[in-house]
Amino acid sequence: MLLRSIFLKEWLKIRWFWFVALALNLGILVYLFIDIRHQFQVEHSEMIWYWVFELRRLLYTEIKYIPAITGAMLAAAQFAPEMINGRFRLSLHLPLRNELLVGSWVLFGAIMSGLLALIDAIGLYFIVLTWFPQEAAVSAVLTALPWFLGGWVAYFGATLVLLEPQPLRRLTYLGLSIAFMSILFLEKGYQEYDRVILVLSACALLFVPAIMLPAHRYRHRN
Amino acid sequence: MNHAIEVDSLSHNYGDRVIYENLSFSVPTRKVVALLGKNGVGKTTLIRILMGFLRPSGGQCKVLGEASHKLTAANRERIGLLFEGHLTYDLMTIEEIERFYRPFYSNWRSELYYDLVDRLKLPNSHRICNMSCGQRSQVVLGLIFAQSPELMILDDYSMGLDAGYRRLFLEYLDNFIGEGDKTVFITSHVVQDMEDLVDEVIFLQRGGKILQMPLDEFRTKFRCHSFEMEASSKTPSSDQLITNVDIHERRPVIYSFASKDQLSEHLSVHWPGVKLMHDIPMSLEDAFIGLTGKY
Amino acid sequence: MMPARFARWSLLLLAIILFAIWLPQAHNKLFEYRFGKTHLFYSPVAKTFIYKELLGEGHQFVYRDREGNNYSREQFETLIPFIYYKNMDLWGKLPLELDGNSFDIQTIRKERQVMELKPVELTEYNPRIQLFPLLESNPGRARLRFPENVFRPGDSLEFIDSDHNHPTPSHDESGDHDHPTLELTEDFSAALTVAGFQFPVTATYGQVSILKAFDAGYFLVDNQDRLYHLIRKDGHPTVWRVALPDSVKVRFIKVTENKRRETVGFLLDQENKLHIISYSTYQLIPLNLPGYNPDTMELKIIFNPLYRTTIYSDQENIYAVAMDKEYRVIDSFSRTMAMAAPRLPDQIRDFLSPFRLELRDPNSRYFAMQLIWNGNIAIFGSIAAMLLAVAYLRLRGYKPFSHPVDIALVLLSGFYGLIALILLPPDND
Repeated sequence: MLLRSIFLKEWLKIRWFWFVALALNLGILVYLFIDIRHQFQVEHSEMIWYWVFELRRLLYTEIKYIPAITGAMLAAAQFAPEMINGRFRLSLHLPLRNELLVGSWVLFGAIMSGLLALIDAIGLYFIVLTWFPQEAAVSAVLTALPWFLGGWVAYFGATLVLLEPQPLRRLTYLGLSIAFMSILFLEKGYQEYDRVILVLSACALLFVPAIMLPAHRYRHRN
Repeated sequence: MNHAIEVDSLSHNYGDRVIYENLSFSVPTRKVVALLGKNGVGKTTLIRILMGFLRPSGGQCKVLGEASHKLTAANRERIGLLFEGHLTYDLMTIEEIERFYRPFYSNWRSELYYDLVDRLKLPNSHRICNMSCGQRSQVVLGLIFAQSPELMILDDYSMGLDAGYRRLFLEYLDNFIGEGDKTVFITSHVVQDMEDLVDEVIFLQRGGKILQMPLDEFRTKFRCHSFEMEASSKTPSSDQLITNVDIHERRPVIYSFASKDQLSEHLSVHWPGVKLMHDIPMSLEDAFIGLTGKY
Repeated sequence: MMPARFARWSLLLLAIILFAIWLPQAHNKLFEYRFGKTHLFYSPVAKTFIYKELLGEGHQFVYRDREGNNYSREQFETLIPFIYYKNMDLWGKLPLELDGNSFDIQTIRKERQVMELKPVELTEYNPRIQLFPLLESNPGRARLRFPENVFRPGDSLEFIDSDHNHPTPSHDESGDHDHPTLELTEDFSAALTVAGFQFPVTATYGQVSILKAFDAGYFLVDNQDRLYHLIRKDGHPTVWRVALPDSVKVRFIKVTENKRRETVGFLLDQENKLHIISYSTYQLIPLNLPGYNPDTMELKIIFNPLYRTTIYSDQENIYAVAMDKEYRVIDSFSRTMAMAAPRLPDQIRDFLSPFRLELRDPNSRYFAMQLIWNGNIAIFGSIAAMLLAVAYLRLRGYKPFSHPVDIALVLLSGFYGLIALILLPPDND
């Protein structure tokens, strides 16, 4: 019941942004579909397969930064309104442990941006599958995993920055998030993150407890 | 527990600016206490400290027996809080916001909320951000009532309200307090509204000086006297008996808590040549200004 | 509040991890220098090893032989005339008289060949979608071309049509030649089975390119670790079983077609011994390479009319083995390169923290989070960082010893932890 109530408010805050993000994500997928189709119209199929399998050219880099943009956007939609006039205090006064409250907020945001990432992943899989064998479709999704992790980091990074009351500390959080993001988009070919994605995901999980710090600092300002 | 709020040697400053130093007072349970002070004396800051949103530079605050910066969820449920400017979730509708708050409170009373907001004659799907300040204040008050709190802390309820809504707000509040077992701590700068509502007043002055007493006592004891003085004598100024002197009025006046006889005697000793004339009747607002000065 | 403390520790940890990745990266960007990677050769003239190495900054090359004699650049090039044969020609030194033989430019050209093997080419270090085009080895024209299908090695050799992205083309005309890829699948799988191949295919090795002298097809390993060679000739499969000595189990094969048609590539066995696979006979020629580690060393074999010289190196040491045309060892040499000498910026890096996290392994396409210990010097750095942390906390008005976790983090991570602590100081309770 409580969770439903909390999710209701979060949904009311982000719904328009979420639909805009959905449109953006679907739009990029449509563009990707048209783009690959175009490639196959202007070039011989066996040549494109050679580029993709042997030369490791990625035909789907259009979606590279989309999860990150989506994550940051949803975080802004959720937490920027809480910062206007210190509306965050309304929630902090609710008879609920503050960690649970903030935890439910980011749970909701993570679910909603995760949903979009899932749509991207499924879309990517089936778009690649249209012109390539299944191996290539699986490879495309594996290659895109660090980009989806980038969405996670962007969401939590933006949340840290927005909830933090002190400007200097905000810069620190921004810097840490950018430093993390910068190790997720370095690929030169497919599946290069296969062996490190779990470790990176584990590191990115550190963001979840970290969210409590700015919330705590917000409540107990000097 | 005798006191819903206890403030003990509280100090706070923003940089070099001292807001309070060694401030102590308490709000007894089942009383309605108003914190009165002019703009900028730190009323809102005090409420923030009481609710644990601000860490004071020194001293202690206890609310419902708990340190204010460590209020547990159980105690927050017992406290109805009106934020300055009737802060609320603007993007929700009348219905949504009730649905949002309801599950958090075990004694939630929806009927109290709808009793208030139905009088606005707005559809339940009306969004709060499209309301006037007055309409908004009804919604926020309705939410606090529905929570059925033991302690209400109302920060500057009158902000942005016209006379009609102010009156309405107070009537509802008065009714609600009438149900009994409520402690109310209210801040305002609209002093005359407090006349029929409050049991005690706390006057907060710049630099953190306070004066706390039952309203009745304040009304009977605090007096205004006009005076005349000989050309050679010095103009009286505040001392232990004289609270304030105002010579900018048509007639110069002295404000004091002392009886007229005591004051006359005091004047003849310390300020020879000054002679009290008439008792001047005051409204509560006059008295407030008499106490705190115009500036 | 406990959660807030955990929250801060999580952030400190995150910051330390990110510093451990990025600060050494910054160090590399700032201080990496094209210091002396050694170029090592066997001189058929001097019958000894000679090398060129960058010593100081700028272009201070030394040209030197194993015995320590220095040469000018021109002298140096004259010592390896088969490498610099075009200069020799320009300087009028061809034909070359060596050991009683005469070598003109045609002969030298015909005998030259270079074979290379890098760690990054090995299967473990190289993600590869397991789909391969099988080129027509008898194209009947000047250039090779890609077929409109690839094969999927598995329980059969399944051919997939690239125009229709399907094992069988979708629009079906009646008649028995309408499923070209289906037919290929059947033909090639059957041919392998007939040759004794037991599916599934466990490894596939070939060189996917049309820019090569000819097509040598693929080497396939079957379920029983047996090796087969497959080519497509005039559209049909040709399969040979490659007999391996009992001691040899395939770890990796590199197919590298050369117009000389003497070799088809390398075979690395599971004991990390490297063999050359002879063309047409499939005879394995084992190479005697002391100190060779295929996981860390790049290797090349330089062929010339008289010798085969194998040169292999990692970031620190370089080795060379000179052989005659029958791969009999004549001489060998190894040397620690100038670039391996520790430099001040490296020592400072090692002092600042006990470890670093390397994201990139130069010998792999895969990213890793390799934990690298910086060595004992870091003990002093960590203690220094910890003392600074205590001083910093005291300066900021904290009681340092009421923050034992912070202090421990700094002690364990050196200056990464110190910077993290300064950026994320504790909140006073």
